[in-house]
Amino acid sequence: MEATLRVLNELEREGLFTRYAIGGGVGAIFYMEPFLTYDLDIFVVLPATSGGLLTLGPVYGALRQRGYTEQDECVNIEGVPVQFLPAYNPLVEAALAEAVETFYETTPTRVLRAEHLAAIMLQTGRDKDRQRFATFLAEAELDRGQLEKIVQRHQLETRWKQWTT
Amino acid sequence: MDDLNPEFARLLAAKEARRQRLARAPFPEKIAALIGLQMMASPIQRRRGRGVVPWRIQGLRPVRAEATLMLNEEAPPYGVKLKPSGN
Repeated sequence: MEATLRVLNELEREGLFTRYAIGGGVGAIFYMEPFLTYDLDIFVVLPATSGGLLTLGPVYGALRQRGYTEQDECVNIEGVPVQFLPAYNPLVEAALAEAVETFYETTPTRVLRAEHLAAIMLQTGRDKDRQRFATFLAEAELDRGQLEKIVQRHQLETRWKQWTT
Repeated sequence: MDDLNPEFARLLAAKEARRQRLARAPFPEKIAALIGLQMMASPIQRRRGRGVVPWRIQGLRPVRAEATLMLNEEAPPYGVKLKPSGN
């Protein structure tokens, strides 16, 4: 995992993406009891191309040059299947902008804040998000007031009410 | 609703406390526990046709007993029966 994060840091330094942070299941595990997941979801802010198109092509190309192979929708980087997810909406953009700087062993990295991870679960809204959401609220140390502000800002109140009552 | 057997309530509280401790374990220990879960689950998943593989990470630290979440249940010893509730 540390070697994987070192590669991600290199890609960021090289400008393949302007910022990355760990999200998804592994992001949630940062704050709660471990549960089974197989992918490392990495949210990225991609640099805009001249045509304004956002594409992961250059990221995959740089990884291929380093010898990392694609497996379905992931790239295997140092033994870990990594799925890159470009910031696809204002909530994810805000989550990336405010991600927590931390260390994995001695390697710097970023993880989405607990409040944003909870809001992304609400927004994504799959059955597994709902199941994880309840446990996440019970186990993660999060700022409930901050989460409610994010919920309002991104119009997630209806699902928030459905999932918390 | 029936009252919860006090011994069972104590076991549930202990489980919850352990979950809270695990939630606050260092990230690398949680990743080691995750890989343990992947190793246990992947043969079953593969039999179900899901091509999953546990992460192959070099230099993975051993997991503390605390982080082996499934192996540290505070269950009563064999032969010890829970006391019936009430009366």
